[in-house]
Amino acid sequence: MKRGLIEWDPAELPPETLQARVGRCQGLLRERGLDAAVFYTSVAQPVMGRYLTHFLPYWNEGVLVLPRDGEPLLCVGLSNRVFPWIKGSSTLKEIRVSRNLGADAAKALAERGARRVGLGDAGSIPYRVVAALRAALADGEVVDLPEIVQTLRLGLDPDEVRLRERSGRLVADALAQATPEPAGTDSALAGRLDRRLRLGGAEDTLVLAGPVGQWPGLPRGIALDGPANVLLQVEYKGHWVQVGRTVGANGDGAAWQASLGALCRAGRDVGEMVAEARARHDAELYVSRCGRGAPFTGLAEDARLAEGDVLALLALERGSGRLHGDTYALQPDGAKALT
Amino acid sequence: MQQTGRYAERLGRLRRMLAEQGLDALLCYGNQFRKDYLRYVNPAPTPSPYGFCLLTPDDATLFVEAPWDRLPPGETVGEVIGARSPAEVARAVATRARQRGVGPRLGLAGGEVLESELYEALRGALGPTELVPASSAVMDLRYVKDAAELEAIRRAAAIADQGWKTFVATCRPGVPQYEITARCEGVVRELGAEDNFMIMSSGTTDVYGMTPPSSRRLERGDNVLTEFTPQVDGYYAQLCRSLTVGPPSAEQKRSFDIYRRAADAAIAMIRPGVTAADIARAENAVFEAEGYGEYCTAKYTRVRGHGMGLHFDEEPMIWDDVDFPIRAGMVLIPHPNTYLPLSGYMVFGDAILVTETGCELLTKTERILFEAGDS
Repeated sequence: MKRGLIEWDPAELPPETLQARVGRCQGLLRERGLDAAVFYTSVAQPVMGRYLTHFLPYWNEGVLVLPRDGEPLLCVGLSNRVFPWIKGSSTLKEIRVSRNLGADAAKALAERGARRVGLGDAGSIPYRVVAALRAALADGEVVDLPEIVQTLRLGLDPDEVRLRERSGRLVADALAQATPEPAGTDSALAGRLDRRLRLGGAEDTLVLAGPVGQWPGLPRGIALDGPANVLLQVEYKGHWVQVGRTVGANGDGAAWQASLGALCRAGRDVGEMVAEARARHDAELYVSRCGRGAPFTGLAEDARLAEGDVLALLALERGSGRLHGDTYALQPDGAKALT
Repeated sequence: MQQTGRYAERLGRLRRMLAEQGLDALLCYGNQFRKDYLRYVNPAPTPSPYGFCLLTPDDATLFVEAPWDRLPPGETVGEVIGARSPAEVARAVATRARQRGVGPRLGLAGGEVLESELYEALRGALGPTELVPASSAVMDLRYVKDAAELEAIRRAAAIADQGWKTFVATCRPGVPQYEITARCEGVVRELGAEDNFMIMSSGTTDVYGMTPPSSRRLERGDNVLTEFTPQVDGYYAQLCRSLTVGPPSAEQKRSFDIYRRAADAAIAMIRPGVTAADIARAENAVFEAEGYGEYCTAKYTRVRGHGMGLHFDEEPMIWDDVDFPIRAGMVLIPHPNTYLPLSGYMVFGDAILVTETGCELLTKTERILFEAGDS
């Protein structure tokens, strides 16, 4: 669960930007003849709620109702005592306590006269919520809006890119302090990294560590003697990045960052990238994308990259056992490293 | 059947439950929101953003997103299967279920957070096998903690005590809230916690609850409060404490005395056989005697305590209409946290283990209103 700084700074992300995103999404609804859309939000699936309103649930879950015209509304499992916090950290004005998200969202839709409703990235919504929504909207029409996040092409949004780069700078700052101490443990290293990241304003972190030659895991007090493989997933104001590094050893991080970035091209299959990483770099490669699931969701080998994707690549060199990874925005002129 | 060391008893209970419920196997799911059911059958942590564990009468298989299948699973798990995407992971689960001849009834625990993409992929690949909701049946086994679970909770409680010391030491005028949580988080990680649920607040009578930290800087006279909940080996233990920046005012002292006596009343009430409602009423009676009964309602407080284990906010909720009988071996935190006009929102509570005759405090932090330095 999240326990770092969650705050909306309008100077950093102006309300006009968020209003423009809502307007763009409402334009999509009009194009498709929809009266409204519904987006699920939780710690595990926060992307659309955050993108449209800057609402970031630190725990619990909610459903954002976006009418074709007018303001979005949030039905949420949080107590009404934290509504002032929600209103202060997002653009939301109307919030309702909900113990049955599907039914309460349907009620809000009915109040707005919405009969043809889009389910934003329905695959990312818990099936119990989808079932309750469909049951409550039985008299209307429910239309799936699959992969809505990809439709919005976050990697081309200058504010998305700028704030992910801010996350990337937090990671760089923390890694600069990350040399394993003699006779230290993975927990000690994780503690130092986590503290540094959160002091810099990180909202959430995942710090994995392990010996060189292995994929890093959640720290468990295991001795780390010498260089270590570290994976950091770091969120600043809802903008996640992922970085993999071998710390405590002289590395060629910049060269690897460029090499992994060069693998990313719009229209390319993940399988091709995996094969190229194996052939050219003797590395095992995993590719994930911002969208369904937080912070990133793994892509199958037959998945195809698209312009506007935000991608996280992670590679383990077979020979040296070193870990490499960065986050990229796939733009018209290639992959832009955000970390 | 596998020999699974210290988890043998847990697996035995789960398999007896399956037989009693007429289930052929159990599928536990978890994601970033909640991994508690997954963790119950796979005691090792996985960084995979989601995962399943299939428990059959003969073995257990873990399914995660690659490359996290390369990490060692819990000792209950015989095999780990990884795939690159959610749909592939779900199909791998269904394939294994079919190979094991699971059917016609497969129990599903943790399905409350199962995304419809995964559910549909599972349903499509499972064929006629029915997915039967089983969270309640598994939760019923989770209420009473076994020796391995209590060991983890005791370690988490000890880390909560240490973390609170850092909290007190960090609270000074001018320090932003998020610096406090950052320093506490660093310490609990170094001490071996894998996670920590922590919300907080600072201020005076304008404070109505707790949230994640903001950039608000502490001021002399503030009431600063937190729920501090480290997780060790999957298990959470919670400590609720409040402090004042500088000496407490007469109102803050009077207010704290009410919370303290309410928590004491709850602890005196707890023993096997009483209900969650009995505990809540014992707390509320202290507030009512002081003329503050309305502050025990949902307008001002969420719950009067709750269970604890693999989730930091486990059933049963302690509330005056929850007729859930308390059992020996349960871990709870009775906390009369609420708003009072004397002080604003204040919190106070300790993790406790229900024993055969009463209860044992698992957190050892002094049960006082703390005072942090004011310079």
